[in-house]
Amino acid sequence: MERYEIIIKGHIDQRREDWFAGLEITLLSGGESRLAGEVADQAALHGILNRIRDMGLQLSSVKRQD
Amino acid sequence: MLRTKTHVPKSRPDLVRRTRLLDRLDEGLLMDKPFTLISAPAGYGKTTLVTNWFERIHRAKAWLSLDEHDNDPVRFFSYLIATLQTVDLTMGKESAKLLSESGMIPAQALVVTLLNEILKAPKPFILVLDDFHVIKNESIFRAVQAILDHHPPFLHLLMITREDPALSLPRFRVRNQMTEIRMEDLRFDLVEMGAFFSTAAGVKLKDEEVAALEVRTEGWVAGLQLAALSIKGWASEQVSEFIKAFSGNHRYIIDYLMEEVINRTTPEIRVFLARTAVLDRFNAELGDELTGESNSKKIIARLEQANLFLIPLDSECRWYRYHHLFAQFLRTELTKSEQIHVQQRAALWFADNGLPEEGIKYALAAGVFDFAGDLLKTQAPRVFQRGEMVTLLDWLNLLPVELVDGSVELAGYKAWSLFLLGKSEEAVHYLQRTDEIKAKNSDPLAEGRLLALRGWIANYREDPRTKEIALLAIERLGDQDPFFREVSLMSLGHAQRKNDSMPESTATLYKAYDTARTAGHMFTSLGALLDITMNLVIQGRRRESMGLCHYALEQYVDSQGKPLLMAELLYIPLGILLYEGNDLKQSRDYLEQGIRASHSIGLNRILGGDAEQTLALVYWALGDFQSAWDLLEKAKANTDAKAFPIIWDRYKAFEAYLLLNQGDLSGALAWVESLGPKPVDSITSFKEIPYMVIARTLYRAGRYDQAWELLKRLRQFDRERERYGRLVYVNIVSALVLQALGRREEAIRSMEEAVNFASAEGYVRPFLSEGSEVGELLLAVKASNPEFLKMLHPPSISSLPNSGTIETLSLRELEVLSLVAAGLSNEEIGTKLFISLGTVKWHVRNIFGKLDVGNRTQAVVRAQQLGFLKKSGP
Repeated sequence: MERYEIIIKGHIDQRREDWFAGLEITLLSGGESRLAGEVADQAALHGILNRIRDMGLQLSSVKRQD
Repeated sequence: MLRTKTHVPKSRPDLVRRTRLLDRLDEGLLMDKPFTLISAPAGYGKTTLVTNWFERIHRAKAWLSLDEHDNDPVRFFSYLIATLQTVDLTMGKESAKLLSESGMIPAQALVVTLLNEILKAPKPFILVLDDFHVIKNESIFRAVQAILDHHPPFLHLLMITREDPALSLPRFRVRNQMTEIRMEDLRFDLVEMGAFFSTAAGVKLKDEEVAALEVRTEGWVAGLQLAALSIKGWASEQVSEFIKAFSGNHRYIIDYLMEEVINRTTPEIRVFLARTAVLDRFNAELGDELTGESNSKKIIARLEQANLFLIPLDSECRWYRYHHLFAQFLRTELTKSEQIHVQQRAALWFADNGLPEEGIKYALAAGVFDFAGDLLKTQAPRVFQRGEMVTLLDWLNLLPVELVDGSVELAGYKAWSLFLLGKSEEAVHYLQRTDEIKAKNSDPLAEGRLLALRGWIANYREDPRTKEIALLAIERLGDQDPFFREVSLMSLGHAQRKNDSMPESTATLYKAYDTARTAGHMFTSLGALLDITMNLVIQGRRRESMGLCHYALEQYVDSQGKPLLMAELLYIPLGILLYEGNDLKQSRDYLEQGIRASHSIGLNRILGGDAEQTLALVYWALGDFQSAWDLLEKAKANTDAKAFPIIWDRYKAFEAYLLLNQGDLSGALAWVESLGPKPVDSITSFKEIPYMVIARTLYRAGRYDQAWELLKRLRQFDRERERYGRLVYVNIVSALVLQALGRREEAIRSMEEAVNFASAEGYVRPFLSEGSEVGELLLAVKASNPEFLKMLHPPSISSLPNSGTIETLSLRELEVLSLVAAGLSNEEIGTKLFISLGTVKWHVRNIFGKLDVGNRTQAVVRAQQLGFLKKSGP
C-alpha cells in the first residue's frame, strides 16, 4: 500500500469517493479538490487517474507521500 | 457479434459549424495523409465533429466503437474485420478464417494476412476507431502500428481517443503523415460560444456573460451543452442569475449542471435514468424490466427529443447508451446495493433474451457467481471456438477459485485458455491441480478436453506417455468437439512418428486432417497436411507427397487464386522433394519462399530446421558454397541451443557434413569425436541424420568396419519403420562401404535396392551427392528400369543436354577449370583469381570428384565431352 495525494481542478462531490477507490476528498479553498489516501498498487493508481481523465477533470498534481 | 459496435453514429444537427476543424480534416484527406488523430478529454465533441464531417465527404466510411472488452486481441480483430466488411464484404475474409484458431497460430500470421487484405482494398475508405483509449493491449498497438507503417493506399485511419495511443506519433508528425486535432483545437472560442447559445438554447447572451462562461468552462463543450440545457427557454434575468451562480462556484461542472437539468425532469425519468445508466447499453424492454413500469418507450422518446445525452446505437432506434460523462453522473445517483440489484436483474434479462455474454458480464459484476458459472458453462464452447481466450480467462478469473476448480468443465477451459495464451507453465501447473477434480465429475467430454491438453503438452515435452494420453482423450471425446479431437490426433500422430512406424503416424495425421477440414479449421488442417507431407518425405512416398503439396497449394488460395500465406509453408516439403528429384533451381526458389513465409508468420524453426538444411544443400549443389555456409550460420544464430538441443545438435551435424563435402575430413572427424552422438547410443528419428553424417565421415576416414556397424543399424531402423526415403541414402552409403570392405556382391545388391526404389519414386539427388564412387557401382547394377539407371550414371550426362546435373559445377569451378585447361598451375590460378593456393586445390579436387576423373588432363577432356568447356581449336 502506498499513500498518494492527487490535486484536481474543481470541487467534486464527496459522494464520488467510491469512484476514486475510497480516497478521501477534501475541497480546497482555491477551487481545487484534494484526493488522498492509500492506493493498493500502481494499477489502482492508474485506474484513478483514468477516472479523472474520463470525467474531463484537470489534473494539477500527483504526489507520493512517504 | 454486436452490430451496434460497427454502427456509424448519426450526425447531430450541428449547432455550431466548426468550419476551421472540418477544413483541417478535409485537408488530411486531400494531402493523402494516412492518419488522423483526435485526442482530447471526454466531452470535447470529438465524435460529433467526425459525424458532422462525414456528412460532407463522399468516401466509404467504416466505424468501430471500442470498449474495454476489445483488449482481447481476437475480439478486437473480429470486430475490426466486421467493420472492414461494412466497406467491402470480401475484405478480411481470410483473416477471419484464421481468427478462430488464433490460439494455435502466431499472432503475426494474423496481422500479416489482415494487412495484405487491407492493402488489396477495392476502394478508398475511412476507418474510424472510436474510444481507442480503452485499448491497453500491446499486440493491438503493434498491429495498428504495422498497418499504418505499410501505408495502405486506400485506407485513411481516424482515431478518436482520450489519451495519446502508444504509437510512434512523433514519427508521423515529422513525416507530416498525420492530421492532429487536440483539446486546444476543440475548445469553443468566444464566437462559437455565442453562436452556440443562440441556436441551442435560444438565448442571446451578453458579451460579459459569454466571457464568464468561457472562464468557468474553458470552452469545454460538454459543460456548455449542459449550461445551454439548463437555461433553455429562460428569460434573460433568469439567465444572468444562473450564469452568476454558476461562475461563482467551483463545483465540478457536470455535477453542478446535471443537478440543474435533472431537477427539471420528473421523478419517473430520474429513476429510469439512474437505473439504465448502470448498463453499457439498454433498450425499452430492458428499461421496463429495471423500473417495473411499461413507459420506457415513451421516456426514451422524450429524452431524445430533449437532447438529453442519449446516443442511439443503431439505425432502428433499438439500443441506446448515455454519453459517458453523464452516465457516470447518473450512476452516482444509486447506492452500491441498488446498483448490484440492477445488475442482477439485467443479468437475468440478457440471459433470457438470447444475449448470454452480457448476462455473464452483469452476473459477474453483481457477484451472483453460481448463475455466472452456469451461463459460462453453456457459453464457453462458443467463446473458445471464436478464439477469444482473453475474454474467457478474464471471466474465469472473476469467478471464485473453488467454483472453477470444482468443475471439470470450467477447469478444462481455464487450462486451455492459459495454454493458448502462451502461459504454458501456468497451464501445466493448473493441470496438475485438476487431477483431483476428475474423480468428482464424470462428464467424458469435459474430461476429454483436459486430456487433449495433457496429451498436447506431453507431446511437446517428448513425454513417453503421450500416446497413451492422446488415445484416452480421443476415446473420451468421441465425435464431439472437433478442435480437441484434432489436437489429440496430432499429438498421437507425432508420438507414433517418434515411437512406432511411420505408416501408422501418417494414417493418424490423415484423420486429423479430415476432421479439421470438415470442421473448417484452416490452420489445423494445414498443420496436419504439413506433417503428413513431411512424414511421406521420410517414408519415401515422394510422388504422393508432391501430389498433396500441389493439391493444398491449389485448395488454400485467396480470392485471386494465390496460395494463402499459411499454405505457402507447403513450399518447404515441396522444395525438399524437388531437391531429391534434382530439380535444383525450382527447389531453391520454393525453399526460399517457404522459409520467407514461415518467418513472416513468426515461425522461425519450422520442421526442426529441415528447410534450412535442405536449402543449404541446394546452394551447395548449385556451387554456391558461401550461401550454404551463410544460411547455416544464420539458422544457428536463430537457435537457442539450450531451449532446442535436438535442433542444435542437428545443425552441428550438418556443419560437419558440409565440412566433409568440402574435403575437410579432420574437421568432420573432430565433430564425430567431440560433439557427435556416440555410435553406441540407440537410434531415434531425430538422431538419424547426425548418424548418417558419422557414417559418411567414418567411410571417408577409411574406418570402414565402424561405418558398416553403424549403417547396419540404421538400415534396420529404417526398414522396420518403413522410412524408405531415408533408406535410399543408407543403402547408397552402405554400398560404398561394402565395396571398400571388398564385399562387392553385397555392395551391388545394396545399390540395386536403392536404384529400384528411387526409380519408382523419382529420387535422383542421393546418387549424385554421395561421391564419385557411386558411378562405378551403378555400372554394375542390374536395374528393373534401365532408362532410369542410365540417367543416373554420370558418363551418360553428355547424352542428356540441360539435365539437372550440369548444375553441379559452380561458376567458380568453371572458372578454375578453364584456367586448368589453359595450362595454368594451381599457383598461377590462385594469383589470377585472387584466392589462396589451398582454395584452388580444394576447387580442383571438387572438380575431379564431380567429373569423376583422376587428373587435370582427364578433367579437361571430360569437361569438353560434357560441354562444360569449348574444345580447344583444331
